[in-house]
Amino acid sequence: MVLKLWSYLLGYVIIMVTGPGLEKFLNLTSQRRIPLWNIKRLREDVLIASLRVGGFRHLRPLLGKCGCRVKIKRKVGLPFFCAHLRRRWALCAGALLCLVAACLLAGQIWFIQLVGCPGHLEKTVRRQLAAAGLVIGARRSQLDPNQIAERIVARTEALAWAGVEFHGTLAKVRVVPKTMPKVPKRGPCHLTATRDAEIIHLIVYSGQGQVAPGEMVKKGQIIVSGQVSYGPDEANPLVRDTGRELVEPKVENTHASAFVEGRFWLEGYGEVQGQQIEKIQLQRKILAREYYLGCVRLWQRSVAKRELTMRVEGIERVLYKPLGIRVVTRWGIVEQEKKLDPEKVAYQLAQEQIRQQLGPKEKIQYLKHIVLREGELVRVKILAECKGPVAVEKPFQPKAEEGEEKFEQERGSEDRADPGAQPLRPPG
Amino acid sequence: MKAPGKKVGKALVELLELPRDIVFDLPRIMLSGNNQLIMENHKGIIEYGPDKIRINTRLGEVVVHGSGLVIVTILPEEITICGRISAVSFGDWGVGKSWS
Repeated sequence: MVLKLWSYLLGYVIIMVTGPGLEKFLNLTSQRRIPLWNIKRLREDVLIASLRVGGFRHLRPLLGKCGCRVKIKRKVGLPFFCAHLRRRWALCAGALLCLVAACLLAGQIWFIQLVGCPGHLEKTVRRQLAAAGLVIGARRSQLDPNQIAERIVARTEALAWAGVEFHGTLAKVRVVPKTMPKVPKRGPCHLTATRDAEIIHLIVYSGQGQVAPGEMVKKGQIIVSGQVSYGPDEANPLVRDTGRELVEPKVENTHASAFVEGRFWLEGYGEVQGQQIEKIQLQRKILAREYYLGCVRLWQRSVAKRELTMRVEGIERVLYKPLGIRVVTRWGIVEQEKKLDPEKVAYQLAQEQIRQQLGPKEKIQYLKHIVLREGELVRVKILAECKGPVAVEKPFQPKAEEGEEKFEQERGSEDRADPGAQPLRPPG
Repeated sequence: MKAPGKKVGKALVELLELPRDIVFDLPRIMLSGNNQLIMENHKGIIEYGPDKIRINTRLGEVVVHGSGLVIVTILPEEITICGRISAVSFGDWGVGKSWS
């Protein structure tokens, strides 16, 4: 390989030697150290061989000795190629220009591909990429993909991650948008009592508490108000500490939020007349099968006898849809009667009534029942002590300047009551 | 009868364990598979054809039989032959000429 490359760089000729003494010619060339290679004998008096350009001159004295003639068949190598191109300088210049242009253009970004970018963010991301220098026609060597990725993530709030890769003239920008949790729109609201209850726990997160733990509330009463009014003493601690006067009172409408737990009492009532019998389902039995073609019944087959204490139900099954054959299977459920305690049944009815009044997070803490018997009639009354959240959000429309007006009115009345009162001043 | 110089030389080579091909200019043949043959210390080509090449050596001639034989390189000390080599024979190697 190296020899071939070296021969190509220096240039060589493929010669055709004709004559009777070809072996003598080969021996003489080897003795004179004229290197020949790829020697092929074509005919008895013809052979071809490759020879360096410099060695060709030394062949002439040998040819006379062996009676051969030499003819150059082909000239191969870089010197010959250059000599050939010397006459075609425009072609060389064009090729060189093409090579330079290809090298220059290959070092630039011609395509920008965004992967994983939602439609509404595409413009923003492209704008940020342009600001970071990644535009069509930018030099790839002057761009740092990590730096660009960091920059677009830092400047686009909607993006969680970005990665930039260069593949030749293509800049592949992968972005992952942030998935934000859906926050419901929360307007101002109060927390009102869902029922008459005693407040056990009250922890206010936002808003202003209107009741204290241990107090009784009525249904609809505001427990935590969404309107928080700040007086001059409350709004700014500096006023309280330094006695500085607060110029503007403030009312804020907030979405009241609190942990409110209350205790409440519910009543349940149940009554039962006479002996109660419960039917217990024992087992299912197939009674009959009916075969239909469309609406026409083809055949009916009884499987088991229908008993007295049996409820009948039918189930349809389509077996052969293309033909329209429909099989209706009739099932029967064997039932058994069981005598029940009337007091127990009445108790269950009363308890069920209480359960219906309870909310999902409300629990029964304590039950007390009273039983009344009048002949065969049994009455049961249950009093249940329950615990659970007793507040519900009640939105309201904030009125502008409502709080301020109220505050001004209060302030005015105070001024009237004490005309000599002075505004608070810092001590000293 | 061997010449006295050769006898001394042979004894010296055996005594000093010198390579014979270098000391006595013996032909050295290297055959790679049946595709390439390299011969060193040759004395020229006697006959060259695509099926048969006869190479002269100091001890006699070496005949390479095969098909599509091509002399890849020919130098004063070395000759490389490529092609499908079927046989290598030694013709006219007299007893007195051998160094076995």
